[in-house]
Parts: sequence; structure tokens; C-alpha cells
Amino acid sequence: MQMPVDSALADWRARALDFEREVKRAIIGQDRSVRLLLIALFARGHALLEGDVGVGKTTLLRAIAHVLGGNFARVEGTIDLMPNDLVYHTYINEHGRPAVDPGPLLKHGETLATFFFNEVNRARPQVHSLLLRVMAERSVTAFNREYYFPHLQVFADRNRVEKEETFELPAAARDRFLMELNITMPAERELQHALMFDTRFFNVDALIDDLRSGVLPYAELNDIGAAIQRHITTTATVEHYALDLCAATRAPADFGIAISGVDMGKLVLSGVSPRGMGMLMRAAKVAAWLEGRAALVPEDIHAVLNETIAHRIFFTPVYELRRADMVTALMQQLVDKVAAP
Amino acid sequence: MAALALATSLAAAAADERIITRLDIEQPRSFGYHIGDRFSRDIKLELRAPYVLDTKALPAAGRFSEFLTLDTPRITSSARDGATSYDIRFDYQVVNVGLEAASIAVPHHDLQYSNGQEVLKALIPDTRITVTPLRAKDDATLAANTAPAPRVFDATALWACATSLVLSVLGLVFMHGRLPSWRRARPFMLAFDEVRAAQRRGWRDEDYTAALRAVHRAFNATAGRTVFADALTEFFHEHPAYAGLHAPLTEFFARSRGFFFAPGVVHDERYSASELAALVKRCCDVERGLT
Repeated sequence: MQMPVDSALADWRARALDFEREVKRAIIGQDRSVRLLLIALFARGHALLEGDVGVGKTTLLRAIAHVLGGNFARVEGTIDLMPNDLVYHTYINEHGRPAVDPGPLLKHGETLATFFFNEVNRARPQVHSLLLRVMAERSVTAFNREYYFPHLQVFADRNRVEKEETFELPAAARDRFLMELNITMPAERELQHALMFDTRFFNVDALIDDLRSGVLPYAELNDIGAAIQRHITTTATVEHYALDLCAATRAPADFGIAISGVDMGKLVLSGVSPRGMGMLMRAAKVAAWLEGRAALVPEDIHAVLNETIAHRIFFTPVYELRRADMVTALMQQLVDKVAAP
Repeated sequence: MAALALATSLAAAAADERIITRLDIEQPRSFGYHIGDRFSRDIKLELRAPYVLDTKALPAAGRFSEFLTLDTPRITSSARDGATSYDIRFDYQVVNVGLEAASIAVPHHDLQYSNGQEVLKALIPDTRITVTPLRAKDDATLAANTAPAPRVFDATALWACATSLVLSVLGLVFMHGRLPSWRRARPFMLAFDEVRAAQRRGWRDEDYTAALRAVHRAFNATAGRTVFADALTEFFHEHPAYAGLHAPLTEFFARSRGFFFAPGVVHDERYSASELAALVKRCCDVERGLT
């Protein structure tokens, strides 16, 4: 359903879709993930990618950062990584004197556009704590002053295969991610064939370097993101629906949600937080805008529901052990049982 | 009836042997009688002249005892050498039998004879016979009655007709949703009621809202989940009976979306009450399997 939108927003939408097409030149079989990361860009939220080893998480994030342009910093999560390693590093310079340089977080100052934290769950909780502040406040204290990163967007990934010598992200840190995406390998056989036999995909550096860079002026994303939030309208009906969805994560039985073999009254320990509710709406509005709509409809919420909500729901210990099954069933029931209008 | 010969020569108490030169009584056999059976008692009597048998004094035909009837006695007689011989036959029929086998009495008779002045009697003594009822004992095993059943009243056919009639009536009631509980099982029929109620209330904004919500509830109840505009294809796939309404139902979801989510922005032309009622009525017909 096409609707007239403000001409500036229409122009930005065209650029956003151009961005999406450019990323897809290098990333195949991940259309939904690319769209969701594009939504995260314009919703100005951070994203966490999870998936098996070698499914393309890092390549996808590198492609996003490259096409977006701007300054980019990257750090690898390791067990001995400490917060200071993100802020500065010390070394003996060419004159034989000790020297201190800004770390990856501070190196680009306010122009840092993308901070990519690879294997985030291998870092210690101290590092998570610093990351938590950076994501929430886009600032950090170092060298006796505050550093601000107004355009910063954090992308992190973790593989779900290895759990040894890893540190699960605390709930507070996970709640600060706008989205948590599950990346899987392409199911289509022809795409698997391309990844296996098309030599273009063998050299990731060349593949990404071949993409255009700076397709979106990252420094303007904050403004355009705010404009999108103002422009996309919501009616009382859709607001009521969104509130019901979030309420259902806290009290699913009240909405007739039932999962076989589960005591629904004892399933949920904590549902969607107010921050999560706001992030859901921010992402949904961007989804509507990308679809060319000026008004939010339930399908826009559905488009981002799983990725913005699921990681904010925490189950009681007995059910947390079966989290993957529980969260899948609960998210499906949310859409099926909560009515709109 | 086979008779057991029992010849008995008895001297009647009142008879004189010089008068009765012969009295032979053949009593019936004493067993094997059922209701309706007939048997006889034969008497041969010979009287010297001038004594003759008074036939008018013989017992009359009719009910003879609780169990027996007696026919009119048959008498033949012949005279020879100063004596008269009589062959008398008493024919009986068993007309009553109890529920169990029983020995019953065949009562005595008096044969009255005279010479015109003196009246004498010869006694035919009573005897007993055993009668049994025509019934099986309670613990007997009866063979199946293979006789054709009387066709005066065929209960099975009557029940079949009555059942068919009741089911037909119930089917009609169900199809038309005349019972509240069945109406609840017909989501579109309930929605139709609510649309009509909204129409009666005046079709104001709140009435129109309630009517559209009622139709959405019908879709949700039919599908077993919330049906959204972008999931209509799936709905038609799961409920192909509604495929004939593809265009109007798609139109409904478009108008509803405009009304609820983007008023004044997208296609939000309102239905008139009659338009919406007609659409829901078509859904009702599909729901009832009429189309």
C-alpha cells in the first residue's frame, strides 16, 4: 500500500533502499537480516547477531559498515580483554619511550560511526559493563574527560556453538540492543551453490571492497531517524495493539496464550521492559517507512517483533533451560492470539 | 384318542344281579391329556325284562365339572332272549387345565332303570385322569420363533422415521443457527447479529467500529488465530470455501485497515450498514455450507 510521504523522507527512503540493494550484492540469502539491520540503522539502535560459525555474521556486519561509510572500529572479544583495551593502548614507540594512544573506541572521536564487537560473549563482564554504557549513553570517560559518539552504532556478534570460556551477556546489556538477530545459512540450494562455487565469495575482503561506500551520510542518520519517528502516525487502535503485545509477554495467559506442557502462570519471569517497548515502536515505524507507509499497521510491528522483543523476555529457571523452544512458541502465539483491531 | 381298555364289572349298590346280567365299563386311560382333548367312557349294560333303562335320567350335555364338558350320551340298544342290551358312550372334552400337571376326577354317573313300578340305579364309578398344561417349563430352551412377524405395527421403521425427522429438524435449526449455543459456534452468524444490532443503533462511529471488530472476531474465530491483511492468502488456503469471496474480503481488510490504522490516509471508504450486512451474510452462507 503506497502512501504519499514527505518528499525529504521519500528521498531518504530511496537512498535507504539503494543501501539495501548495495549490501545485497555481497550478502546473499540474508534479505531479512539486511532489512532488519537497515531498520536498526534508521531506528538508531544497536544490533546483536547470533548464529552458527561461518554463516556470515561478520561479513554481513562488515558489509553494512562499509556501505554505510564513516569511521569504523572493530574489536575482538577475548577472555583477557579488559575495558581499558577499548579505551587506550600502551606501547614503546620508535624513540624507545612509552607511549599511550587512544584505543579503538576513542581513535575516531565523535566521528565514530560503527563499532563492531566480534565474539562479544568471549569478553569479560567488565568489558560488557563498558559496552553497556557506550550503547546506552554513547559516551565514555577517559583521560579525565568525556568522549561522546553521537553517531555511534554498535554491532556485535556471538556464535552459539561454543559456550566454554564465554560470558553470557547480562540482561541489562541485552536489553540495550535494539535487535537480536539470529543468522542462519541460506536454505535455498542455488544460494548454497553460489556460496560454494562462485569465486566472488571466496575473498571476503575483495567482496566488500567492491561495494560502494558512503551510500548513506551517517552524520545525518540521527536527524532523519527522528523525522521518521515523527512522520509515521499511529492510531489508538495500533497503539492499543502494541501495548497488548507487550502486556502479553508479561502475562501470556491473560491473552489466551497456551503452550503445550507449560504452566503459563509460571513461565515468564520478566517480560518486555519499557525500553524494549519504545524500541519496538521505533523499529516498527522505520519498517513502515521503508514499506512506503505513513501510518503504522500491525504488519509493521510483526516485521520487527521477534528481533526486538524475544531477547527481552526472561523465563523462570525451569523454562529458561528450554529457552529456544519456549521463545519460539511464545512469539508465534503472541501474533496468533493478540487481536487487532 | 387311544383308550386304555379297562373292563370293570361292578355290581351297583342298588342293582340286583338277577336284573343286571351284564355291566361292563371301559374307563378312559388315566394320563396324557391336554386342554381340548376328547375322551370317552363306554358302558355295556344288559337288563332283564321287564326292566329298561331310563334314558331321560342320563346326565345332560354341558359343563360337567370344573375341567370337563360332556356331550349328549350316545345310546344304542337291542333286545334278545328276554333281556335288553345297551351300549352307552359318554364323550368328554378337557376344557380347563391348571398351570401344573394335575390329576382330575371324571365324576360318577347313575344309570337309572325301572320296571314301571320299581326304580333302581346302577352306579358308574368315578375315575381320575392326569391333565397337563400346554406350556414349557420356565427353564426350558425354546427354539426361535421362525414365524413371520405380524406387520400390524413395525416399530423399527417407525423409529427410523422419527429419528430422521428429528435429525432433519435439528439440521435445519443448526443451519439457521436458531439455538444460542449453536449460534456461538457460527462466528459469522454472530457477527451478522452484531452488524444488524449496530445498524439498529444508528450506524454511528462507535457502531461502525463495533461492527468491523465483530467481523474481525469472526475471521479470527474461524481461523483459530488473528487474521491480518497480509495473511489473507493463508486464510483462503486453509479455508478454501471462502475463496469465492476473495475480492470482497480483501476489500474488507483494506477498508478496515484504513479505518483503524490510517484514517484519511489510505483507502478508508466506509461500508453502509446494508453493504456490510450483505457481505457478512455471504460469509454466513459459506459458513453454513450453503455455497
